[in-house]
Amino acid sequence: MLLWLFCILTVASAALLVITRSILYGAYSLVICLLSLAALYVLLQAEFVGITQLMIYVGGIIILLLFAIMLTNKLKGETLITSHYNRIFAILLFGSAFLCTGWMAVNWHGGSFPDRAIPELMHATGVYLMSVYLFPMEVIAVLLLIVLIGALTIAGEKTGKEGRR
Amino acid sequence: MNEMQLLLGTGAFLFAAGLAVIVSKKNAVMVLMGIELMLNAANLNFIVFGRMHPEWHQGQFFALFVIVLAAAEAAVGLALILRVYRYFRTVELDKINQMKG
Amino acid sequence: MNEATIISPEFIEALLMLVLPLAAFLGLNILPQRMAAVSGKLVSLVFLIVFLLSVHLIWMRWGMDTIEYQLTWFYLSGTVHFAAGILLDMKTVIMLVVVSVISLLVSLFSISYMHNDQDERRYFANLGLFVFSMIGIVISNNLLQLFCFWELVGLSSYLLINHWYRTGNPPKAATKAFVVNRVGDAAFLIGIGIAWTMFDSLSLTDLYSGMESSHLEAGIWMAGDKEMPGIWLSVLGICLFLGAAGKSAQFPFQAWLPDAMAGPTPVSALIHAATMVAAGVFLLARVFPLLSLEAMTFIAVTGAITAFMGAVAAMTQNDIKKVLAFSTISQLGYMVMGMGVGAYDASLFHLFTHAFFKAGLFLAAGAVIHAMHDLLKGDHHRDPQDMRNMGGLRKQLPVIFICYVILSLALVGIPFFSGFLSKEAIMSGSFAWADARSGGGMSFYHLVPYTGMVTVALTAYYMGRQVYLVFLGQPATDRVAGKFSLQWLMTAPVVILSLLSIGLIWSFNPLSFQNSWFFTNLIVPVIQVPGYPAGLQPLIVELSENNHLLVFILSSAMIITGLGLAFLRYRNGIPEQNRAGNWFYNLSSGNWWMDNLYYDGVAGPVKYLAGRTYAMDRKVIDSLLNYLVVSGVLFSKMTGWFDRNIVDGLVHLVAAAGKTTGSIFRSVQGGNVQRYVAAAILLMIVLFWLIY
Repeated sequence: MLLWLFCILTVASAALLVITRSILYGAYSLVICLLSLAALYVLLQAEFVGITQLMIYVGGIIILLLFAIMLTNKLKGETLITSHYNRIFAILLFGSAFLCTGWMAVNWHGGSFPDRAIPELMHATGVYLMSVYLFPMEVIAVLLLIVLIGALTIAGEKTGKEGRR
Repeated sequence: MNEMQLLLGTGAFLFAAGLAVIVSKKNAVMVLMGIELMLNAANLNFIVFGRMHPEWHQGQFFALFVIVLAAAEAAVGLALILRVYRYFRTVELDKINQMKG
Repeated sequence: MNEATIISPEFIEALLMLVLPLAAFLGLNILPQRMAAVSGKLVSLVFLIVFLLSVHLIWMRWGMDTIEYQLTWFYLSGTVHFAAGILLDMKTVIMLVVVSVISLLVSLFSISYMHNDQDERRYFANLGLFVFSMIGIVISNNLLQLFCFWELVGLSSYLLINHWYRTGNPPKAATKAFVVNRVGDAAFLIGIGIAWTMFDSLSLTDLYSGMESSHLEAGIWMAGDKEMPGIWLSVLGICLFLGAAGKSAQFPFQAWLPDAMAGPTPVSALIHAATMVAAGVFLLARVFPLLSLEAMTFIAVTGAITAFMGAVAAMTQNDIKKVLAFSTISQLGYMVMGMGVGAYDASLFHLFTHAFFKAGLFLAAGAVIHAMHDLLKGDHHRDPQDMRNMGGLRKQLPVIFICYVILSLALVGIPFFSGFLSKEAIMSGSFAWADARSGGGMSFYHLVPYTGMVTVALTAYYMGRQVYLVFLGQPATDRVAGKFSLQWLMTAPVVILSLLSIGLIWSFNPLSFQNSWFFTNLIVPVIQVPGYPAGLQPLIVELSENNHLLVFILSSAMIITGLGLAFLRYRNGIPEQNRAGNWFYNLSSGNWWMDNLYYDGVAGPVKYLAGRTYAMDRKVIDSLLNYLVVSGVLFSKMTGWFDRNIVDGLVHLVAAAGKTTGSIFRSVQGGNVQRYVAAAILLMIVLFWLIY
C-alpha cells in the first residue's frame, strides 16, 4: 500500500513540475518528488541509496538549484514565472516516450521481487563499497573534486565579455 | 498490475515528464530540474531491477554512482547557467539563440 | 589674298581668343556653387586676356593684307569636303577689339549689377558662351562655320534673356526671340544652299572669286560649268540678308528685340545693342561682294523702313530700356541702309561707334534702374524701369547724368561726337546712291535718304525726351532724396564708353569723317557681281565726297527740330498721361501693331491649324490606334493568363516545394537547443519503434 502511495506522490509531483509555470513551485514539487523517491528506495530495501538520495539531492542539489534560481533572477517581489514553449514538441515527446517505456513496463513479465527480505543487506553494501567497489568510489571522489574545481572556475571567472546584453 | 509494473511505470512517467520539462521550459534552471527527473527515473529502474537480485548489489551501486554524478552534473550545470546569465543577462533559453542559422 | 600654309602667331592668338571664353563657360559650369561669388571676376579676367590679345592682334595686323588659314573640317562621300578656318582682315580685327572691349566692360559692370543674384554663376558662364560664339562669327572664313556660331549666338542670347526664367515674362520673350530668329536663319540656310550649289564651296574667298568669274547671259547666271536662272542671283543676296535681318531685328523681324529687354540690362547692352544684333550687319559686310543690284536696293529700302519705324516706336515708350531697344532697331536700320546703298565703310563705322555709345547708354540705364530699385524703397507696385517714376535724377546720379548726355549726343549725331561722323557718312552715302541711281533728277530712290533724314529728327526727339524724363525736371514721385552712390565698377564702364564716344578718338578732324583713321585703313571691296553697273560704285563715292555740306546742314536742321520739339513738349514736366485715343500714340507705343499682326496673322492661324490637326489626330488616328491597342491588350491578356497559370504555376510549384522543405529544415535549425534535443529524441523513439 505504501508503495502505491509513494508512487502516486512521485507521479503527481512530477506532473506538477511539468505543468507549473512558477519556478519555485517547480523546485518544491521536485523536492517532493525526490523525497518520495527516497521513500520508494527505502521500501525497496535500498536504504543506503535512499539516505544518499536524501543527503545529496534534497540536501545538496535542491539547495544549489534554489541558489541558481535566486542568482539568475532579479528578485523584485513578483512571482518567478517562466513560460512554456515548444508545446507540441513536448506533448509529442511526452506521449511517445511514455507510451514506449510505459508499454514495456506494463508488458513486463521477466519475473518479480523475491518474497523474502535479505538480512543485513546494508552491512553487505558497506563491505562491498570498501572492497569490490573501492576503485570506482575513489575515481568518483577524484571526479567530484575535479568537478568542484571546474564549477568554481566556470562560475567564478570574472574576465571575458560580460554583460553583453 | 503487480508491484514491478507499477514501479517501472512510475519510472517511465518520470522519464517522460523529465523529457517534457527539458523541451518545454524556457528557464534553464527548470531544464536542469528536468534532467534531474530523468536521472531519477533511471535510478528508480536500477533500484527496482537490483531488488530482483538483492545479493548482487550492482543495481544499488550503479544508483549510488549515478547520484554522485548527478550531483557533479548539477554543480557544473549551475555554474554554466550562472556564466550564461552573466554573459546574456538572461537564462530564458529562447532568447539565447546565437546558433540560429 | 594669300593663304597661309603654316599656322602663324596671329591665328594662334585668334584661336586662343576663341577658346578662352569657351573654357570659361565650361569651367564655370563645373565650378562649385559655393565659389559662385568669384565667377564674375574669373570671367572678367578671361575677357581681359581676350582684350589684350585683340589689341596685340590689331597692332600686328594694322594696315596689312587679308590672311586666311583653313583646314579640312569633314568629308561627305569622299570627295565633297567642308573646310574650317580663320579669316583675318581689317574689319575682323577691329570687330574683335570692339567685341572684347564691350564684353570686358559689361562683365565688370555685371560683377556689381548681378551681385547677390542666386544664379550669378550661370549668368557669367553664359556670358562666356556668348563671347565664344561671337568671336567665332567674326573670325570664321566660311559660311557654314559662321552659321554654326550664328546659331550658338542665338542659343546664348536665348539663355541670357531667359536668365530670370522663374518670372513670367523672360521665357516668353526668349522664346519669341528664338522663334523669330529661326525664320531668318532658315532664309540664311537657303542662301548658303544656293551658294553651295553654284560655287561648290562655302569659303568666303572662294565665293568672292567665284562671283567675280561668274556672268549673266540672257537671264542665265553661269559660273564655271553650272548655270541657273538669273533670278537666283538676287534670291541669294536677299536670303543672306534675311538671315542678317533676323539677328539685326530688321523689318519685318524687329518685334523680338524690345521683348528681349526682359533679360538683365548688361546683357541688353552686350548682346542686344552692341554685338549680336550688329552681327547681322557684320554678316552683310562679309557677303557684301555677293550682293546683286536688286538685293542691294531691297536691303537699302528695308533698312530705311526699319530705321523710321524704330524711331517712331521709340517716341512714346515709357520703359527706359524699351526706348533704347527701339533706338537700337532704328540705328541698325541705318547700318543696313548704309550697306544697301554701298556705303560699306560708313556702315561698319556706324556699327563700331554705335556699339560703344549704345552699350554705354544701356549700362547707364542699368545703373539708373539699379539706383531706382533702392530709391523707390523696394516698392513693388512701381516699376523701376518706368521713366514716369524718374525725373530729377541729375542731382542724384551726376556722373551717370553727364555720361548719359554725352552718349545721347553721340547717338543723336551732334558734331564732335562719334555718332555724328558715322551717321553723316551713311547719310551722304545714301544721298549719293539716290542721285546715282536716279541719274541726276528726283526719283523714288530719294525716299531712302529722306526717310533717313526724318529719322534723324525723330532720334533727336526721343533722346531729348528721355533725357528730360529721366534726369531733368522734378522728381516725379516720392523717393529717397539725396545723392545716390554707385559702385565704381558700375560707373567706370559707363565713363570709359562715354569717352570712347567723343569724336576726337575716331577722327582728328571731328567735323569730317573722311579724315578718320577708320576710313583711311578700311578697304572697300569692289562689287563684281554680274549685272552690277561697273561705274556705279565709283560714282557713289565721288558723289558722296561732294554732298557733305548739304547733308551737314540738313541733318543739323533736323536735330535742332527734334530737340526743340522735345524741349517744348517736356520742359513743363510730363504731359497728361491718357492718350489712348490718339491713333499716332497707339501706333507708336504698340510698335506699328507688329505684335498684333504676328499674333493674329501668324500665331493665330498656326494655332488654329495645330488645333485642327490635333483634333484630327485625336479623332481618327487615336481611335484607330485605340482599336489596335485594345486588340493587342486582349491578346496579351490571354497570353498573360496562360503564362501566369500554366507556365508560372509549374515554376511556382517547384519553387514552393523547395521553399517548404527549406522552411522545415530551417525551423529545426533555428538555434533553439531544446528543439534539437526534442528532434533527436523523437527520432530515437521512432527508430526504437521501427526496431521493435
